Amino acid sequence: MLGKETIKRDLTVVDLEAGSCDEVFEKMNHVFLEKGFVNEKYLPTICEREHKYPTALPVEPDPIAIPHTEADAIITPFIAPVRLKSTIPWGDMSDPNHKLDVKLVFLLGFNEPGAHIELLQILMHNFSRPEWVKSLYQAETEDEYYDAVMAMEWTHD
Amino acid sequence: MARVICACGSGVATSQLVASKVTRMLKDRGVDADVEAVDIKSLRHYINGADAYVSIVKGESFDIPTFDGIKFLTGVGADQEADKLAELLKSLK
Repeated sequence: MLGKETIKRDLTVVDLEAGSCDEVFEKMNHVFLEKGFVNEKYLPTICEREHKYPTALPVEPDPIAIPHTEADAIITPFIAPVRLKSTIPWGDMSDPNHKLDVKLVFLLGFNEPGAHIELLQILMHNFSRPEWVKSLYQAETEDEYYDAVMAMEWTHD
Repeated sequence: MARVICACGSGVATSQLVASKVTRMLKDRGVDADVEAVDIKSLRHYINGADAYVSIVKGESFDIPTFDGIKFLTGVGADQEADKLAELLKSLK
């Protein structure tokens, strides 16, 4: 079972400048590769998957994207909390032809089926808590952002 | 036992999450069901003989009752969707 330690401080990025989800993946791929979280399959497979099966969730108050790819691209499981500098259009999971304006992205790297289910449920629970989402926007530094993310309620519905 | 299929792009992250939520919400409503998470590419194979399909990604539609997986995923409207699904599965018995 994956726990809170899956959320990585050294993969936390605030004000990432990107004009598209592909650009987010390219930039984060450098960090993931350098730190040994993914292999060379990560970038091509995540771009392809995201175009086929987009991952922006139509949650309230704000949409949040949870891009993820095949297990064999992942070396060590991780969650990378990223806040973009400005919103970009991101495909809606429920309807690929519809775009949502996304600023908050949680890049998920999972390689063992089943191990991350509870963790995902906890994330989903918090995604719909306006006060927690608000704290993500209020954080000014990466340390503050990471702390705000980690202050999530460790429970789910 | 009633069979329910949930499908997403990989059959790993989202559909498993939805499947576990559907299982729990059905149990709360007194329905034991076999809820399977599959990837969308093998959906056609698994859908045979299933009683209901919980769809996460818009795409191919099948000739069985279909429910909105995004409601289970986000929790918005999940209770109503679970009520409808439970009612359907109870009516099969």
